[in-house]
Amino acid sequence: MIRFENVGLRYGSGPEVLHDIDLTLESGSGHYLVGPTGAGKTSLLSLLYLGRRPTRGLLTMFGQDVATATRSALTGFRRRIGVVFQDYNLLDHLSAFDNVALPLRLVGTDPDMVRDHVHQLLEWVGLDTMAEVKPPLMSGGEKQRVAVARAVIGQPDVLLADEPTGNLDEPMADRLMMLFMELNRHGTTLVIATHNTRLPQRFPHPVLHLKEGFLKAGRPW
Amino acid sequence: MVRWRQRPREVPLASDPSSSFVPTIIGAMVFLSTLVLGASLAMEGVADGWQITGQQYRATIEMSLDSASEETVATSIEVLAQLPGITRVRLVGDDEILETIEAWTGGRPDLDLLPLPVLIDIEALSPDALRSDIIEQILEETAGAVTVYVEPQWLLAVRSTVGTVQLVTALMLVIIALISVVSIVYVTRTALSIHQDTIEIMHQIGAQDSYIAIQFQNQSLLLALMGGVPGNVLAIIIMVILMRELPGSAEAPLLPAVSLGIREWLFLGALPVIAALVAMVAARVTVITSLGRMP
Repeated sequence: MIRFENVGLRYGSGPEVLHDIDLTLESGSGHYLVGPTGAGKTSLLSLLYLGRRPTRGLLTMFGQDVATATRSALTGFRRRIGVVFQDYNLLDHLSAFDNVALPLRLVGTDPDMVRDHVHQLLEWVGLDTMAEVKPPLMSGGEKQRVAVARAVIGQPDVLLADEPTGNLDEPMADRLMMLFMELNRHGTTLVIATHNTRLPQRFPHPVLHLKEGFLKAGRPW
Repeated sequence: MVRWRQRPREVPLASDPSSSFVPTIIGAMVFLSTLVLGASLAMEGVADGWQITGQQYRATIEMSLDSASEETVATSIEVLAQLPGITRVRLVGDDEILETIEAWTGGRPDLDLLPLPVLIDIEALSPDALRSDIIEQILEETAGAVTVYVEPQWLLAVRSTVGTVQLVTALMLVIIALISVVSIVYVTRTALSIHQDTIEIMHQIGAQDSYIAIQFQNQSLLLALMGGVPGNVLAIIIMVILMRELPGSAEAPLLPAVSLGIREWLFLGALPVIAALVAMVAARVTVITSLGRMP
């Protein structure tokens, strides 16, 4: 489904932050991405959610080389990828409801279906009473839950999460991880970047270690 | 009860500084273009009244009533039509002659008291084809003595002025349109820069460029209408007042009335809509072009 071959990434004319990444993510697989701060986890995720293109090497996604993909093809890929960003990337002028509804609206889903799905998901993440609240009035944990709801509402083929439980208490973190695992069981490819050593122990999956921009596959925690 | 929920705009353009700038600039441009175009259309109407519009040069031939039998007139028309450079020959009808002289007589004259002359209008693409001495000489054989009234020199000057004014008007409208488009492009680019983060997030979630462009184009359409309609209405009010101040046909029967027909008024009234559509297209093209350069 996703394949990296000798991929490198640099920002502008700066030094390379990812070196010689070789990685294959099969459909329905699940991985943790771990490494110290500055190791390149967020950069690797940005390649995965097509926020950036590799500066060298080959990255294929859904069977197509992203370097030669058209803009409309890239948009199609992005719609198949759900992302929980580390800094949430919510639209501050929209309510929690409208933030979560956005992926469905972009593909023209029926408004009644949007309403039902969004309320259902907000209830699942414990924010059903905050549907009309805008992100600036939410705590970090609440924003994180909205970001998770937005990432999963379109039932993506690939789910990428950058520290998805960083601001959550343990019961809520477990609840969201169970949601991720459930999606994974149904075929969603999962990549979770985390510092939290408890997660891989509690929800075991293979671990990808990133260190100084180099990737090493590791054993399950 | 199902609560009605207005769908939000993902790109919050309504709070931009452009919200006041675009209506002001488009309002001013529509105001100017309405006045300029209105004046041009009114001048065309006046020129029509004097029959000096178009590319044709005209002359009128008056035949002596004694020699103007039907046969003579028909033969003369044939002869005139064969002259080099002549594009049109027609016999002026009695009704048309009566309409023309009403301005002098103040009403329909009694035809028993005022026998009408026989008039033939001819048109040519060049004034050289309308030399009165040559035409009189040619018609002498078929119709005897005729009098040829060639369009006077001052009328030619007016014709040239009308043409120049129309050209200047077209140029001004092009300049006004260009200023409007450039303003919209500038405002749209600024808005794209202001909302870059929002647009990046929307792209990452899977928004197509066209989805984002729709939000910008709708905002431009709305703002242009908000400015264009008042600008247009104000210009039309000024034009109506000015036209009412000018002498009408009762006070100055020899002067063609300065007025606009329904079709011209409708055209002027459509200017804000045209401006809004231009603004909409300019915004869309700017957004699509700019987003196309993003990764």
